[in-house]
Amino acid sequence: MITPKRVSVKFYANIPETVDITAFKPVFQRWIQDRTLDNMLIDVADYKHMHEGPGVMLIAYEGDYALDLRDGKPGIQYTRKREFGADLMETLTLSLKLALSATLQIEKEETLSGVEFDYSTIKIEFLDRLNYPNTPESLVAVKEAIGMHTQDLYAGAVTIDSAHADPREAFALLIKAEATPDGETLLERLTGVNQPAS
Amino acid sequence: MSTWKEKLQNQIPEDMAHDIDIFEGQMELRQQDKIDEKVFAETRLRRGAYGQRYDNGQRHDGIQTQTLEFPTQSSSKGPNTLWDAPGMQRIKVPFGGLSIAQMETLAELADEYSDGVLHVTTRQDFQLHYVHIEDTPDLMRRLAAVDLTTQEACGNSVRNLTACPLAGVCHDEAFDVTPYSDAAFKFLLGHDDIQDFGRKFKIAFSGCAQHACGLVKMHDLGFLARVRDVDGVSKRGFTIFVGGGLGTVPQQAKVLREFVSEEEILPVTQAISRVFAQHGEKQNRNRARIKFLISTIGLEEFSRLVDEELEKLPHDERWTSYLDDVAKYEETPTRDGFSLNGAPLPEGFNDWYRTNIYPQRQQGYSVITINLPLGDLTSRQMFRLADIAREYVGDNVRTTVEQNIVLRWVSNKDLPQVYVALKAIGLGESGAGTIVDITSCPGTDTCKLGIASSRGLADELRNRLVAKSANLPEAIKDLRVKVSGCFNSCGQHHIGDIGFFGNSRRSGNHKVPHFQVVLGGQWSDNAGSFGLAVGAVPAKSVPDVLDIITERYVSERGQGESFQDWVHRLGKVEIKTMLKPFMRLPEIDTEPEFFTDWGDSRVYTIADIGVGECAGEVVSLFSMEIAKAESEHFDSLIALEEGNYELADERAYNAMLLAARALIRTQSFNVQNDADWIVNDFRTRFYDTQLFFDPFAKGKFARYLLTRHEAPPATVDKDSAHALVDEAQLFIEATHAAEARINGVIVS
Repeated sequence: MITPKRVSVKFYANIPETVDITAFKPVFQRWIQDRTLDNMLIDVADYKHMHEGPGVMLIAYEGDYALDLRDGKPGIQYTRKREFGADLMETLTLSLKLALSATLQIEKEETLSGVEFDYSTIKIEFLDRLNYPNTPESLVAVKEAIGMHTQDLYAGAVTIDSAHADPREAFALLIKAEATPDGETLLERLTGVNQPAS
Repeated sequence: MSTWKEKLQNQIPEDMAHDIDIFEGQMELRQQDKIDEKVFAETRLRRGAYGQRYDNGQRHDGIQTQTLEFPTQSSSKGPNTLWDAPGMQRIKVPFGGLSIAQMETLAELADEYSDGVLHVTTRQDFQLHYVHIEDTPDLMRRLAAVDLTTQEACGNSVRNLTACPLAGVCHDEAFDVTPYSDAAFKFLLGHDDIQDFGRKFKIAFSGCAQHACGLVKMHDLGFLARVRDVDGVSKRGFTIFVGGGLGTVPQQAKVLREFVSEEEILPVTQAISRVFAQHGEKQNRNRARIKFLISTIGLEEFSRLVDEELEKLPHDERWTSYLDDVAKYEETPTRDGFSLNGAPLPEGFNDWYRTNIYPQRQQGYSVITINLPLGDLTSRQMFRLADIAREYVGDNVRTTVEQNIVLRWVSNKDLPQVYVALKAIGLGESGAGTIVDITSCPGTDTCKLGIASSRGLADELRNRLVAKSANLPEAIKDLRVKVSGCFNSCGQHHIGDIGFFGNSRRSGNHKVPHFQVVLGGQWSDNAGSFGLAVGAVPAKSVPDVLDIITERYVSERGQGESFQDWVHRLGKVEIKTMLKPFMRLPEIDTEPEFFTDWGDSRVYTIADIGVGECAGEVVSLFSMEIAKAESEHFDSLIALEEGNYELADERAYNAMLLAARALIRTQSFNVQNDADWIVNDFRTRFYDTQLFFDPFAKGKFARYLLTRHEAPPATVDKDSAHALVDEAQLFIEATHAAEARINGVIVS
């Protein structure tokens, strides 16, 4: 399928009460200093004053990372904006790898100790209403295109449902797996070999 | 359908579609280096596509400056502006009026081209940040399909036309200015006579003199609605103000015409535009606003030139044809107006009602103000707000210059349900138009000119004030707090009761983010007067400074005494005494928290300044000398307050001389006290060499001294003294900055 103009992937997180979301900001700033992630990191944007907003964002050239607070559930969201893969699957794979690189890094951060991710669920949002309108037809087509791949990713059964009921909102999917793999395992399966995403 | 251009081809007016196609073509040419980068920069600015912080490919990460390695380093969209760097897109919303379809489109665009956030500006615009230039043509097409434009949202042109958000429903207005502001917007958009300005041009409409909503006195051109009896017939028209503006040195607009009939306002506007285009400064951007032209040639001569142009203007039927639309203009409520019917009210409703509801003059209806923190809302909030609008008010939605959104024509009986619906999407906060509803420009978050974090400070102040809002004294609840990230007044700090604007000071080898405190501005009376800077304090001290100012006002104010009157009565000496404990410079070893800005964990920096060879101790001579200048400047404030304008002028001038002398002393032992000598030496050492130049304002601040020295005023009045006192303060700030650049060993 055609590569969407933008696509987001999100892994939901459990953030313990001991971790204030303000703690993500210095972590993201340090990631810029240390060039921790493979995207060209530009800046940190603070939107935590907003109700169920993008929280704290790490802006990059190719794509943005966010401690996203939308859906009433926090999580790490990666939005690919530039330099896509050749098709939808390649772009999704790339985006998932980059999102996982970020979640795995967060799990290592001392100041964010206790933050855990639910890797059994992925939200994918197609920020391209021209090519991916939020319609039942899009759902059928995309499910067909990615269904087998997601089963491979989870090595088992998955359900894929529409995530946004409002037709004005971007077309989005919620992929839920019966299995609950860890992030490293998912990244290995995406990468083929255990090497960092690029 | 493979492109938005194809999909929307029948939904966009032909001329708008053509303009966007041309812009897309210019982008292509620029990438092929067939258009000069300066030309393209102005082109994209006139399409509202603005630069954003770090788009020069450099960013200080708190330790060092990193090069941002965008893929196409060689391609630029303007001087020092890399092609691949994300930017800001401004979207005009004339008089703030929004339809449901526009709201939904804006939400889509924030999702697809930005970071999911819509930001309301102090000119009733929307801004999207982190937008890539390649996405802008489609973004513009989608806006055009719902009758929104980015044309002339930036650049040297007529910016968004603002108007009272209560126009048409207000109790005090002469008449509804909405259709007039809309007509002026349409008449001027893309007009030949506004294409050759030296700087931007801002226009506002207000329905009454006594309230603030239109802020006509701080505009290049302001229209104040009047009704006059002409030969026994009630006639609509406007008092026309010209030459106002905030910026670095604010200036009140002056009355150009006491009454201009509705048939004449468009030709008069056109004539003013022609005079500005022909006679306004073009080379020196720092003196290119119309206020400088009027100051230079005088209001009388300006008025004569306008009359002369009016005589020459070829007739245009649009001057009066819009009046047919004015006669037909009316807003249609979605629901019948009823009073609140006594049903149980939801929790929090009464507080919200007290601050966020304005009863319309139309029986049974109210205006709801939605208090947007920092002017932001998410795309999803915008979709839900569109739903609420659809159900309760239809297309009767407007943005405000206080970075909020209003829903008009809400039936009073629906207020509880609307409150519950807003609360559910996080937009039901009370406190609109009160001390917790703080205005802020983008500051260092995204603005290239930002010196300190205005949004970080505003967020911190808001959080603290909201936490104690239940116990805030009545006397301070309705004070306005406004914050700008630099001396340019995008946060409108001059017209807040309490304003702050960002600057910095040097402590040892480090910079400390500061905010200048500005007290006594007047929001009401259409921005009736401007506040004065009373001292700079470290950014981290601002919350304590706000506390002490408000606490003293509460305890010391007289019966019915306004904040402005209290500030005036207290006097600059006492205010300075009050602030003095907060003004001391911290040291990084003992108080490192002062060396980071609000909401930023990085060690504070003003980017790449401070390249120098002299390592080691900072020589304290400059600090001592500049203190004399600051003291003299303080005396000029006192003189101004006492109404001794000539003395204020003289002291402000002396303050600049002393600051210049302080800087000269960093390079020479043989420094004289004679004014001619100081100015000549300053010019040779620092102006001609451009060492004094601000990276963005260039030689502007130096010219404050040079101009005053070369051309002392024949007569000094309140306005000119006020302006020079402000200029002297900015000159001193610039001297601090120059000294740091030239002599400092800034490591952060």
